[in-house]
Amino acid sequence: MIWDRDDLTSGLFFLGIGLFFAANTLSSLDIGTAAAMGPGFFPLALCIILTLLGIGILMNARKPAQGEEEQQVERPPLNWRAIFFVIAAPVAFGLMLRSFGLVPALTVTIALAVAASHTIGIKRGLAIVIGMTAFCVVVFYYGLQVPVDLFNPALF
Amino acid sequence: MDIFNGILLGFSQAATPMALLFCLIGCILGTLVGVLPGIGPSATIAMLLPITLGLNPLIALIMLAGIYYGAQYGGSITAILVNVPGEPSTAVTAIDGYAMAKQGRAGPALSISAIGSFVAGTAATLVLAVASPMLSQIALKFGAPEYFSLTLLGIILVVVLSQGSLLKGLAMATFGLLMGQVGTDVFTSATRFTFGLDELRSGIDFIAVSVGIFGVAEILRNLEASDGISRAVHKITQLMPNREDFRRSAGPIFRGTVLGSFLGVLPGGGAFLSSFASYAVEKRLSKHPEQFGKGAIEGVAGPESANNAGAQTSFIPMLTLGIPSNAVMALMVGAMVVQGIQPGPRVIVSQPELFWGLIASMWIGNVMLILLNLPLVGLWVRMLRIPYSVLFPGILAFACIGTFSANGIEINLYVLAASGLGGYLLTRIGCDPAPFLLGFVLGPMVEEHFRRAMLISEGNLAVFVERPISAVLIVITVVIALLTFVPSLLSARKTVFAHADD
Repeated sequence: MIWDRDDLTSGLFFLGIGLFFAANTLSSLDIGTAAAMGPGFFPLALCIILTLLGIGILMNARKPAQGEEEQQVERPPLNWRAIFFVIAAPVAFGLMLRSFGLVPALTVTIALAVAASHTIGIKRGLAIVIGMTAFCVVVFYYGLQVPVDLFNPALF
Repeated sequence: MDIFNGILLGFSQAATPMALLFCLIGCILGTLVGVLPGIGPSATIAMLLPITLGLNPLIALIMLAGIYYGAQYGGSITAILVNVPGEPSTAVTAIDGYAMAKQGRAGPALSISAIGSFVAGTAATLVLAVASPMLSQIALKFGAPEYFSLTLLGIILVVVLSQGSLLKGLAMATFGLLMGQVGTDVFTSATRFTFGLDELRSGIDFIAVSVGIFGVAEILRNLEASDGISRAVHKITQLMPNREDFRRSAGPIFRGTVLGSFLGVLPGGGAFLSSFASYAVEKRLSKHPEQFGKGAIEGVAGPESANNAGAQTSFIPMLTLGIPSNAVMALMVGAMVVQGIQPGPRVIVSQPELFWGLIASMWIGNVMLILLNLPLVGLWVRMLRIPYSVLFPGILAFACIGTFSANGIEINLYVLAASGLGGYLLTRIGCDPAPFLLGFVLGPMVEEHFRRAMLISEGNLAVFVERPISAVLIVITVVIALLTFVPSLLSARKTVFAHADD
């Protein structure tokens, strides 16, 4: 018998989410009764179902060893560089938009995205950053009139 | 209103210059994302949701719908010419379509798939026009218990028909329902799971979550593999199919249309399942099944008709019951909600111009697509030369501004990042994000129906089986849930999806 790693991870994840939200519900929300439900009744029911499903997935995670080569599907490894830069991009956009303005926020966001790929050279990367920033400014600021400043006036 | 007047009203709404323009934009965008592997209609629709906020609801829906069925047309171009499915629903088209392209018959394959799609699209539009009013008549009689049971059935079907393990699908749907609970409780106005963040009082933003789990997660998935592959594209010599091609395609187009129209209505169905089912049917019915996989035109005509029919009839449950049958329809429900329209059977009665206008626009869109596709196929093929490394920084930037502009709150960008990462990691461990989004959209509705039903019955769960319609729905739900755990059915399901994984 071996553990299927995906089942193990997802089972534990759902179990954890179920228990965490159940604890949160029990500590802060009124449950009520079936006839007069409080705000916590339905969430608690969902948490219980989710916890049970998590346990169910965990119970299925032990597989007979002979199916080993079938179970372990070939999969590209996690691309940490891509994950880091792609996730950093919207976070940077959120942090910079109000304090610096649309143009600096976009430039940094797109530069982070470019950095996620290892096939873009410096020259091409710069072209993408400048071109895309200009394009987005035209579409969103002038075209769709998203209400933000191009540059934060407080900076000058 | 009878169907004839309805269709007339629809065309009067959908043939305005504004409606035609946005229908065309939707179809072009749809074809484009269909052609490009790595960008799907779900991500595109999610990213365009904030932009549609400023449009009137009908125009917004016309454009978003155009993206979905347009992608079915565009996906087949990539499948046939490059052997990469532009969309998952065109994966089977690649088998025989690419084989035809290698024999120098890419033109006829493309033509037949466009013609089949058009025939199917026209038929499916009629099915929509006839079936929807009837269904919504029935649904108008539904009370809270019926709605709860129906939603339960919808969720179970989506889980059963989605890819991956059933338990994980159920867990993802439940997780989605739970995330849909975040915010203010409508009955008592107590805040739930906001963890002290005022921005979460009105719930987790739907647009941020859907752009995250489709758009951002898709980018991460694509960056796993190398992003610099150049693709060999087969040349198109002659576009028109010969008489023999037409003769062999007529049957598959007809059967594909019927099959797709039917499967599209099923929750979890839609374009994807329809094309796989049609391929299997054509292979079984064929007098020369040995040709399948080596360039049989039936293997292109059937699935291509089926996926377009399915894409269109999957609007039926969404428009009549307010219940989305797949991830794209969940996004359409979201689009209606952000426009202030409560999806459900009343839409046809209270906003006939919206309902009929959308249906009429689908037929107009299909005409536009066949015109866009056949003569302009060379242009679309050129799009395939754009490397992904140039595209994705732009997609990411669009996702960020789009999400922010929906309601101007920075926290939604962090929700976007978190749901992108979460969606990607969960997909990697075999958890399909589609049931999650469905649960997330339906969460507040499911709770409301459940609590209403419990108020009526004074807390007696038996109300769901005492009312006849609700009882039937519950029985179907239970039977399906039980059947799926029977091993024989499980293996049948595996063979249906065996091709889908590669």
